[in-house]
Amino acid sequence: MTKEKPETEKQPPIQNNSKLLSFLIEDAVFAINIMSVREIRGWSPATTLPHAPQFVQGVMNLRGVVLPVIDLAQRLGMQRENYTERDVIIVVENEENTFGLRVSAVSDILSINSAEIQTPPEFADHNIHETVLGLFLVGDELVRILDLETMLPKPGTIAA
Amino acid sequence: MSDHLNEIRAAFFVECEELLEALFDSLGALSSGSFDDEVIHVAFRAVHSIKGSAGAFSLNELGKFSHNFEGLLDQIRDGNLKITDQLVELLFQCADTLNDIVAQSGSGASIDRVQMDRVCAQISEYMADPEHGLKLTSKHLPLECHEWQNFRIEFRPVSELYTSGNEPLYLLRSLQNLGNCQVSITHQKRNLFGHNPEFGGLFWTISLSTEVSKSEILDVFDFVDGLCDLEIHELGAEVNGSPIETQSTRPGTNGEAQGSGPTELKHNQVGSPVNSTIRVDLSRIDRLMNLVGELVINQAMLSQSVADTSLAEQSRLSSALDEFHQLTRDIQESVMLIRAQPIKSLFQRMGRVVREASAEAGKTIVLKTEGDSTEVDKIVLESLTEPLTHMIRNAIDHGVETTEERRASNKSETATIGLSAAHQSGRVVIEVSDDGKGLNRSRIRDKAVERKLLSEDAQPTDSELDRMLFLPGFSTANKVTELSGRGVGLDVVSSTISGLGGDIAVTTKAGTGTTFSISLPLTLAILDGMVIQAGNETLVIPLSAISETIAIGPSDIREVGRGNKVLSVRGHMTRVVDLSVTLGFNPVRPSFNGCIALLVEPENQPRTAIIVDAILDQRQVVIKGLQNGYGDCPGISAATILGNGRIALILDAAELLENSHLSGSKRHPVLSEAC
Repeated sequence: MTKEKPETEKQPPIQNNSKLLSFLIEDAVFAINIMSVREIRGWSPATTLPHAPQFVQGVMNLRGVVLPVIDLAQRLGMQRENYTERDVIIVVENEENTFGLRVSAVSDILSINSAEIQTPPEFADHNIHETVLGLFLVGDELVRILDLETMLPKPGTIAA
Repeated sequence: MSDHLNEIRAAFFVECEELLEALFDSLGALSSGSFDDEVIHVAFRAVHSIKGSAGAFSLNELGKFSHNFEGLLDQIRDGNLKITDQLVELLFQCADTLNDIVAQSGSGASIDRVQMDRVCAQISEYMADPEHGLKLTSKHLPLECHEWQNFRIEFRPVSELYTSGNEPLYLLRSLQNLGNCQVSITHQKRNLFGHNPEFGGLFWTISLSTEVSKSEILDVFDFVDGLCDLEIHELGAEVNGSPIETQSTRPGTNGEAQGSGPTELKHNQVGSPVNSTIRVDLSRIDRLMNLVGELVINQAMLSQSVADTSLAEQSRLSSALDEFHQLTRDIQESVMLIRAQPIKSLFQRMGRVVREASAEAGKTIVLKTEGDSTEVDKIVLESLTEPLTHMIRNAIDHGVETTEERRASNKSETATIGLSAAHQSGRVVIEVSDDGKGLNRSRIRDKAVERKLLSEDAQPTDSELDRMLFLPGFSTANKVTELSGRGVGLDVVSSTISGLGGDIAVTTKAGTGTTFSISLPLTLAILDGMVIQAGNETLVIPLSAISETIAIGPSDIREVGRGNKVLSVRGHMTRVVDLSVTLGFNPVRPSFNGCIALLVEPENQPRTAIIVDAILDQRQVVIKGLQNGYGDCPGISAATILGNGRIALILDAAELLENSHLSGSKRHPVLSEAC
């Protein structure tokens, strides 16, 4: 997630007191490390990429840069009912790529103590540990911390 | 080393490149036989400048070698050596070596001392051999004539001499070192009002009594050449017929002496240290290109929204917008031009390839170039080095006959390799030709059968046979020579060229030679495209891929079974690929009525009709790369941004058709079902 984060999954996912950007997909709250967020912008129609996985919404024009946009709900396998014009694109970057995440709304910036973060319990579906780095509660609300690295499809995994 | 010094050092190597180019130019003129003294002077000055700066950067090898080289050129300049083919060959060797040493010094690699010492030895051997001197000994006086001569030197600096960091005092001091010297000021600006103290305003007359020659006096002023009026008069020369008597045509002496002031700056010699080019990091230009691309898109969006407000046709706003449109277009074109560079530097590099390869093959070959000033995108230029080298080596090894064979077939013993470049309808066409024996089609055929590329009883046409040359692993050379014949030649060439969006073709005539022609887009950043609609999506197809467009009637497309359809194009049944289905935008359509077929004929594939819903526009588009990381998109090569700000994908017809069996979008397993 951050540049300092080693590859291994066992490392504490978030450093102490690091800031997270939280956002909504429908009613569910998610968070990503704010250091990887470049900007937040409104939704505009994307150009469909043929043969791309369903969660790749297409490409958008970000001031002259071709920006791939991922429908985060689909990426996480969630059923999302209403896509609206008021959806938000969070432009994030990791070491290699810049891409957009389509979400319902951006909600808050959280400062979190790493001691409060719980690793997700064991599920039969091991994939969950790849995407969700940790969970924590803000009041009643469950916040899922996502690992950006796993959001993009790996090269060569599509359409072949 | 500090950053600052590094910068100067980098600038030095840039300058070296320019000087070397000038050097090769003059050697080329020398070898063609049509040259005057100026040609030799240019060569001399180029080497001299490299030597001078090499010293400053303590590049000892470079300094030492260029000193030797300069010595040789000096002898030629003074008319002590007769210009023969042998001498020209030696000069080329020297220049190649100098080029190598510069490159090695620049990259910090170790200097090839063996080569350097060998060439140095050749130089001194050549100069020591009295055979090579001019026969006219009356003119052949030793350089260091010990008689004292008197010179009157008029030295009138122009203001640029001061602003470029030169100091007349040093020049006067170095004159003093040459002999007895008396300096007097001949002119002084009287009007102190309005006089700019930074621009001097003093002229000098120097009476010099010395034993050195005029050329050595000129050397003192070498670095202020073009920055001053200089007249050197000989007074009472005691030696008659000395080489210095011949009027030197060096710039800054005769002709320019009459002209005065800053106009002399116009006299910008090829390879002279005063050069009006700058070197810019390519990434900065790319950034500029991106921004200009943005500007163009923004301008289009602005016009669109103004049009939507339904203002009066002739309002001031719309005329201002038109002007804006024109301006952005101009800016875009100028930025594109920045990246374009004359192909000359590439051709010069090929000159060396020809010299070396012909020496290895033991054939006498000259290189003739045409269209040196044709401008090509820098990236294209750089990626062409390897293919051209391959092709030239091939031509020399396989194309050109041995000297005996040429004599037997009544050809001139000297073979010619031609390199030409020209702009043709928005593309650059580069041709590599030889006047050799032409392609041996029966041998190509035998080889193709042997390699199982062709069946025994096939009857390929001549052009089909010629195209076999570009297949991987194909080489007709019976034995692998030093030069080529490893069978990795032409298919690599072909794939490099198509990677640049170009085509390669070969024409040959038995006994008279072979010509390979490469056609390339002018730039890799822009493409002539047809904007089309498939389903609800807008896409761009490179215009170069489309050979024909056909409007489809109600019953033009017929099914042959299992969903495969054909279109009859003038009686010829052509495979049909529906773009919106292939890309997974739409299900199979019930009727093709009103659709448009684009006929394409990609390499190694049958002719195909690509069905689209409509052709929207035909325009130049700026190519934007698709980043990695969200999967491969077979059939999509890049993207562009349309006037409405939306992104349109650019199709790669060949790749699309290769993958046309993949229809409908493929589903990728979602990561996890939870959350």
